[in-house]
Amino acid sequence: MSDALLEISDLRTSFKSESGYMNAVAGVSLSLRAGETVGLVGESGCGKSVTSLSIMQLLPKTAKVEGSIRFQGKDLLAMKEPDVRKFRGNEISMIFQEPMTALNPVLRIGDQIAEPLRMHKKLSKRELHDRVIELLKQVGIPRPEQIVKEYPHQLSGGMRQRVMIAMAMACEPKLLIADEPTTALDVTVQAQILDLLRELQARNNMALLLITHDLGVVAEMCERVIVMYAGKVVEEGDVRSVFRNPQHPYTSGLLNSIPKLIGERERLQPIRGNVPSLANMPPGCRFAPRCPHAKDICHTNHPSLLDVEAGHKVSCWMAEEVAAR
Amino acid sequence: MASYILRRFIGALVVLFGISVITFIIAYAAPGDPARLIVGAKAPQTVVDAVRHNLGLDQPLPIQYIHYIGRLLHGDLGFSYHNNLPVAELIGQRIGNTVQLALASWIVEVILGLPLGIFGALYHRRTADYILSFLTLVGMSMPVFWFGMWLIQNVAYGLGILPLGGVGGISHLILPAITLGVTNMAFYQRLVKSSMVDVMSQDYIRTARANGVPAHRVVTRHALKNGLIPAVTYAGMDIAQLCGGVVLTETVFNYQGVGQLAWQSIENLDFPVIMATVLIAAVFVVVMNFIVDIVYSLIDPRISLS
Ligand SMILES: Nc1ncnc2c1ncn2[C@@H]1O[C@H](COP(=O)(O)OP(=O)(O)OP(=O)(O)O)[C@@H](O)[C@H]1O
Ligand SMILES: [Mg+2]
Repeated sequence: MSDALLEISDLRTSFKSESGYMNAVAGVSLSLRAGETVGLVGESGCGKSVTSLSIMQLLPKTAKVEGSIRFQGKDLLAMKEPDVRKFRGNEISMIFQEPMTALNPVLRIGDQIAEPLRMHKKLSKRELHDRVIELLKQVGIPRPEQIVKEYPHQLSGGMRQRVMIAMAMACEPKLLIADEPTTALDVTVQAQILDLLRELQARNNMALLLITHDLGVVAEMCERVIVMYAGKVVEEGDVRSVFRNPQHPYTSGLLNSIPKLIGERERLQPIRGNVPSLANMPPGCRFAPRCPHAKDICHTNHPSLLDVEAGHKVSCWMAEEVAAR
Repeated sequence: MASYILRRFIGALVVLFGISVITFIIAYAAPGDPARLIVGAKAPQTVVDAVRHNLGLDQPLPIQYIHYIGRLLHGDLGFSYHNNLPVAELIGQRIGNTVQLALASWIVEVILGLPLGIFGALYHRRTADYILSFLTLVGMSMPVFWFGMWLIQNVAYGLGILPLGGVGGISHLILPAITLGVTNMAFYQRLVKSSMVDVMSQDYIRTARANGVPAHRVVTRHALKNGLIPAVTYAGMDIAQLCGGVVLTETVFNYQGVGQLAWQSIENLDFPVIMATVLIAAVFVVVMNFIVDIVYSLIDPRISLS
C-alpha cells in the first residue's frame, strides 16, 4: 500500500517496570490514506492512547517503541528527535481527551495557538496574529480578538477543546489524531465538536484518526474502524461491513453492549470478565478467556489477521476455520 | 486593587495585634522576675518592689498591655531592662546588619538553588540528579552551627583570609552568608526540583511537545512559570524569616544582628527587647506575605487581587 499516508507495521510498545518490560501494544499494524477518517476503538487500557503517542513519540523515556511507523513513506521511528519534531504539530497534530489540563494555565490563548506556527512557519508578528484570529474563527470561537488575550481558566470546557483544535489545525496537518476528544464534554457540546472536526477534515482533506469508546460516534464519523483488544488489532474494516457483519466475538460483544435507540430494545449484554493485565497475557488469543466460543487452539495459539471480505480483516480462529474450508 | 490593599492592610494589623498579645502573655508567664534581675540578687526586697512599681509591673496584665500598646503606637518600644537603653536604639544599631546578612545569604540560596533545582528536574532520576540529591541531603542535614564553626576553623582561621566574626564590610558577610545560604539552598533546590518535576508531567507539557517545541523551550517557556509559583512563595517567606534575624548563625559568628540580640535578651529575660524582636520578625513576615501575593498574581493569571 504505497498510497498510504500513515503506515504502521508491527508496532510494539512496552514500558519498563520492575518485573521487566510490559507490552502495552503488541504488534499493531494499521494504515490510513490521505483524507480518510478511521475510528480506533476498544476497551479502556487496550493501548489506543499508547498507539497514538507512539506515532508522535511523546511517550516517557521508560517506553520502548519498536516496529515501523511510516508517514508519507518516511519511518518516524528511525528518525532523530529534531527530525521527528518537524512533524509534530506540523504534519501530524494531536488533540487530547482533557481540554481542562491540556492547555497551559499561565499562557494566553493566543500565544498557545501561535506556538506551533512559531515552531514550524516563519511568520511576522502581524501574520502570526492574523493567522491565530483566523484559526479561532474557523473553530467557531466568538470574539477572537478578545479571546487571544485571555487565559484557559476563563473558557468553558467546550471552548477549550475548540482552542485545542485551533492549535492542532494551525499548520494544516495532513493527519490529526484525536484521542477521545469529546469524552470530557457535555453531550450537546460533544456533537458540536464532532461536527467541527468533520467540517475541518473535509475542508483540509486531512486524515483523522479518531480514538473513541463510542461506537455511535464511529458509525457517524468514520469510513473505517479498527478494533483493538489488549494491545492487538482484532478486527478492522469498513464501518458498514464491520457493524453489519462483525466477525470477532469481541466486536460483536462491543456492538451488543451499546443501547439501541430505535427498534426493539433488547437486554444489554456486557462482555463478561476483565481485560487481562499487561503482566499476565494469555499465550493464545488474548480474548480467549472471555470468549463464549473459545476452543482449545484459541488458548494456545494466536490467530493471524485474515481477510474475510474486501477490506475487512479479522484475527480469530473461527474465521480461519471458515477460510480453510 | 486599592480596596484589596486596604483589606490586606487591615488584615496585617489584626495579625500583628494578635502576635503582640501572644508575645506579651508569654513574656508575662515566663519564669523569673525582671525587677529582681535589674537590681541584682542581693538588693533588698523594698528596692525590688520599687523598681517593679516604676516599671508598672505591679499593675494588672490588661493595664500593662494597654500601656505597652499605647507606647508602641507612638513608636516607643520601651527601655531595655538589661542596659537601660531604648529598645529602638538597640534594634536600630543591628537591623541593618541583619538585613545585609539576610540579603546576602538569600542571594546565595536563590542563585544556586533555583538553577540547580531546574537542573535536577531536567535530569530527574539520572546520575546527575542522584549526585545532586545526595549533596543537598548533606546540606540539609548539616547543622548550621557546625558548618559555621567549620568555616571559621578552616577558612577564617586556617587560611587566614577572612575575619573570624563580628561585623563590618563585605568580608565579614561572606562566611555567615555562605553558612546560611548553603543550608537554605539545599532546601530550596529540593523544593524547586519537585515543583518542576511535577509541572513537567502535566498534560500541557505534553501539548507543547506535541506542537514540536524543543526541550529547552518546553522548560523555559511552558514549564518554568508554572514551576516558579511555589518557589516564589518559599523564597519570599525565607527572606522574611532571615530579615527577622538568624539566631544561630549570628551567634556563631558573633555577628551583631537582631538574632543575636534576641538570643541575648532571652538569656537576660529582657522582655521589652524580646517582644520588640518578635514583633519585628512578624512585621517582616506580614509584609513579605503581601509582596508574595502580589508577585503571585503577576505570575498566575488564575489569581486575581480583587
Ligand atoms: N507511561 C506508562 N507507563 C506504564 N504503563 C503505561 C503507560 N502508559 C500506558 N500504560 C499502560 O499501557 C496500557 C494501555 O494504555 P492506554 O492508555 O493506551 O489505554 P487506552 O486504550 O488509551 O485506554 P483508555 O480508553 O482508558 O484511554 C495500559 O495497561 C496502561 O496501564
Ligand atoms: Mg486513552
